[in-house]
Amino acid sequence: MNKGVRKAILDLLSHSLTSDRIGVLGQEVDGGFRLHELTGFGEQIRIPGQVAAQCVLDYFDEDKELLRFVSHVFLSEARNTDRLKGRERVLELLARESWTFDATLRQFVKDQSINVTDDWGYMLEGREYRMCFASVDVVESSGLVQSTGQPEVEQTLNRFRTYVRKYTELWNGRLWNWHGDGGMAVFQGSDAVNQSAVAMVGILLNLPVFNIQQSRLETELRIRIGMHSGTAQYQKEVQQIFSNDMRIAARIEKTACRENGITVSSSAYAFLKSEVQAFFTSGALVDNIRTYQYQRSNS
Amino acid sequence: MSTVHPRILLVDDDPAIRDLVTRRLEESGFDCTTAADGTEAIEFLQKRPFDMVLLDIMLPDLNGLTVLRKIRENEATARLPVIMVSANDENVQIVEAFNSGANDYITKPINFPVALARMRSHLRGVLEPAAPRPEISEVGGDPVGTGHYQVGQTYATVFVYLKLHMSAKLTKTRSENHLAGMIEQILQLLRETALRYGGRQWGRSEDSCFFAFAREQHEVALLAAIEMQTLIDMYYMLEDVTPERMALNIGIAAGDVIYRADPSTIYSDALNLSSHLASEAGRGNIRVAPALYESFGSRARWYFEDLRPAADWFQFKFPPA
Repeated sequence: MNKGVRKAILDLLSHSLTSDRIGVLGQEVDGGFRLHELTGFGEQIRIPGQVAAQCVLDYFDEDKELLRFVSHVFLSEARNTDRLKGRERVLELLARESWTFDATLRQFVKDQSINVTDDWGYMLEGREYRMCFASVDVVESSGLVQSTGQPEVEQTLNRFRTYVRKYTELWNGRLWNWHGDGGMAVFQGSDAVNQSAVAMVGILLNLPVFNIQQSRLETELRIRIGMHSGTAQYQKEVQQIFSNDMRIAARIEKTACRENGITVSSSAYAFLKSEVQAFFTSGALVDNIRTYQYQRSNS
Repeated sequence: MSTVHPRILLVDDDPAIRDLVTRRLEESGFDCTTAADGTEAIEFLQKRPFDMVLLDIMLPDLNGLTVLRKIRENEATARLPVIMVSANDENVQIVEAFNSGANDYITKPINFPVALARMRSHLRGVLEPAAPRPEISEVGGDPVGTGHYQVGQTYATVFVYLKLHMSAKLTKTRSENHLAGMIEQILQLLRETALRYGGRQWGRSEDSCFFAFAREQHEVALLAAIEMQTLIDMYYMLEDVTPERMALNIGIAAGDVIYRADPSTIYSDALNLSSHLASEAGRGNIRVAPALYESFGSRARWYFEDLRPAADWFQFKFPPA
């Protein structure tokens, strides 16, 4: 975020809110924000608005943290937007840097149409989010080298990753990690499970197109997909993230999924629209979790 | 030389960089092979043809400059474009690389738009020149979109015939306008899919339509048909329609056809056969005639079930039997 935006936020805060109000809002966003302690002013002394505003900018140093605070100010003062002097200016400057306010998420989000980021433009380091995880894996990949040369296998698996990424991002998912022959696609938002299901069906059903057009293998590349809905703590190094729920998705894929199939946990199944549920039949138990298998319907 | 996906050999000892660069190159249409050190790079170059090498200067065994000299010493690779990849502080080595026959260099961290522009510049002659094409229409016109088809002339053509089956329950539960809107939406998606594969919609009726693909594009027509089926399955999920209520049946056949100004009035045995196969295919299936099946490569054949002698055709099956 450039200095001009930070200056506009500073002006908005110092011209629109009392230092006490800034202190209260700051603490609502982060319990550790203690304005008097941070500025060195005694509890009985009135802190100048400019000092309080600067303290906010120093404390919420990271862009997304500062925007979390600004979002909170905008939402808290939603009934008194006239009081927020320079609000439009701040919004305009943020929009120039591709930050827009998302009413559903109630926060600022970096525009993903320009640059797809692993945090969907809003996730904060260390915070836990509800998501849908899809573990995609190539069946018996170690055996592929025996029937085809190493370079062809490596090349095919690289292409397969690109193929998986394409479908994942098409449905607003992100490929958080990849380990040579498979990886974890992650979907977030209110319709994460359905989007994940559509993306995975696309990956699975178009697999013949991949095998005919892009594969360099002498044998058919087959896959398994396991899906589960749960939580994970976001980290900037997304390939390091591996929550318990991600493990469940991987376990379902490894133990309960047929070749060229998709298996979902009951928690993911519950979020599927009834029309999508119609594509699934009841499957095995994995760690006491009921699973459901995707069955393409034709005759 | 490869004309569709230029073959790039990326040589870098850092797996994270190999991973990142490969992904970006493949997204940009390159066919990328990686080598972790100079020895492996030389082995690859001896075994397989490449269109370009992206060569890191700092490598663990043979350094990049040594690999470059070996490339230039070998007659088979002497003219191969080599772009050196270096950290900013290796300027002296960059000069040495040019003296040793490097075509260009890029610095780390790699600025991809710049790197891709430089690579494409060196690959001119490898990549097919972009021929000027007339405006492409999704409906009608010749399949390759070059405007070369002439009325009255005979052309080998592949027909993909689609029949949209809708159950009585669906037609009863949705209004006429809603259904018409759905069909238009589906047809638009199918046209876009065909167009990506070079196919053109030549005709349609209330519940069916047919697409034409040029000459020997048998397998391409099949790929388009598979994608069309996938698209319909995804459409069901998005639009709350169960497959029991709507399905797309596809027949594919190839043969000669006399081109007409209005291609929807074209008559040919191949078109009739594709229509027949679509009618006979079960819901959500793709059927092809034996002659077409025989023209497919081995990978495409993995996915077909031979229905002879009960019926004289092959049926697409995924997962394969």
